[in-house]
Amino acid sequence: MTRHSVAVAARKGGVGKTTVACGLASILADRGDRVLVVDLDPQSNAAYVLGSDPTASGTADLLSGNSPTPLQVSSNLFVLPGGPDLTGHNIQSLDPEDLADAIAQLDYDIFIFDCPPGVEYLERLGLVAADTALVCTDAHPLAVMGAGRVLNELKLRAQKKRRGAKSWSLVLTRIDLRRAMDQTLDRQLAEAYPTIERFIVHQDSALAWASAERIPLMQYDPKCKGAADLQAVADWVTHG
Amino acid sequence: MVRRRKDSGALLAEATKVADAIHQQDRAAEAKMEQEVRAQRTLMPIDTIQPRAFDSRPLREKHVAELAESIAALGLIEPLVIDRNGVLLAGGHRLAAIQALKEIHTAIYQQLFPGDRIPVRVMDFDAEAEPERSLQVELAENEKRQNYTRDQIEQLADRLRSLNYKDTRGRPKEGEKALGPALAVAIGVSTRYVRKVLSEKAGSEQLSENRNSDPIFREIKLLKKVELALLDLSKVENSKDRTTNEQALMKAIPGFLKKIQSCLREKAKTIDL
Repeated sequence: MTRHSVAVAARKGGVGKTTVACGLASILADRGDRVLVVDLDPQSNAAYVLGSDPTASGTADLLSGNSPTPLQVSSNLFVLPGGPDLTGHNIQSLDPEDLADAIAQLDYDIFIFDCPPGVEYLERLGLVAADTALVCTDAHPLAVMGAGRVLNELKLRAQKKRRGAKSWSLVLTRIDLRRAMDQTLDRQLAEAYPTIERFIVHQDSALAWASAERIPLMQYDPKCKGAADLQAVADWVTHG
Repeated sequence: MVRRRKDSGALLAEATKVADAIHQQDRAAEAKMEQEVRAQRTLMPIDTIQPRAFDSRPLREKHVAELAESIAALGLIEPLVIDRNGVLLAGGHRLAAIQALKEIHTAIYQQLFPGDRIPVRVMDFDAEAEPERSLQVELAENEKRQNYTRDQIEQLADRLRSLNYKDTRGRPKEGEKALGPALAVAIGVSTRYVRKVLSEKAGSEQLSENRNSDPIFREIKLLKKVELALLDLSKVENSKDRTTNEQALMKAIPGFLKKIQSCLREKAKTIDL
């Protein structure tokens, strides 16, 4: 089986990165892959929404050259928590390729990097360690701006033939088609980025509740609209 | 009044355009960071570092020797500062100390600076073309010495302690070295400042714990001073025109001196017990 590594990024906060990352992880684990979620967020939300201990040693420890044991969420799903140690000086001064090197030894089928909002050096670690990137945006100009910055960075790295994600797509999150801006978003992004694939994840309270109740999506409600939307993203990640 | 909304497509398109503009800034900021990081610390072969055209301060031999000892124990804590041509901007004493170390303790030198390479910070300008700026760098370098955090000072102190440096006051016993002065030399601050930081860290009860704060020692010290002063006074040659008061005082001195000396003997016994 080929290994996949996926970075979920947005630059903007609150658009649904962690929801997409953990929902996708649950789906892929449910399909039989061994999945590791690597949380790059100092706020350490990924382990929390998956029902694990967000304060356990995790990504920062891995990046410091140690071998933390990922927390097991379900039979195939594991998570390395983020946390405030990610803001330390030793992490800031890492080479962008250090995460890519650190995960090379780990035995998983799929790695999902939940990138933080704002903190570019952490986001970059994820983008460089991934072979695929999912750039999330909701239907607001501020989120579109954040996604645009990430896309530009991905494009630049690829042009320079640097290590990192080779393909990427846009994930339109929290879409409620009763709203004018949400109706326009897909068309607008198609115009601005005609060659980039787009996926829509609809506004779905089941996604929010799964996170709040700290239950992986496929155990919480495998048939909800949000899960169906993310299935399409999972197909693209594994089959292109 | 209901405000008429703009076309949402136009709003989103505007955001995309701004994302491109910010991307240019992202790249500029990144390039600047890279340059700053590169400027921070590199290793330079020791013989490529050139002396300043004229030295603004003469080297103090004693300070060079102290620094050499400190570098042998702790390594070079602050890199030397050079301009883009390798001309020394700050760290004349440190460079001299490293050269002294090379001659005296070659093994330690080779261990600290393998391949004769010295940590330097390169400032991207030409000292010859901008003498004023180079003076500024030198002054800033000598001023910023107090920028060590208390934790950093404590860490350095721990390393010195493990090398048998002791932080008691007064002259160290044989085989021991004084921690305060060594640390002060290493980071270029006063011994007093180092002691202040370390005692604050250890808790204030240790702050005044030296012999002088013990009342008996203090009394003995003062009595000895008075004894010496009285002995000196009694040796002053007799002049004929003394006032009555002076004569009375001179007469009283031998008896007073005796009392002081017997007091001192008593005190000496209490200490021995």
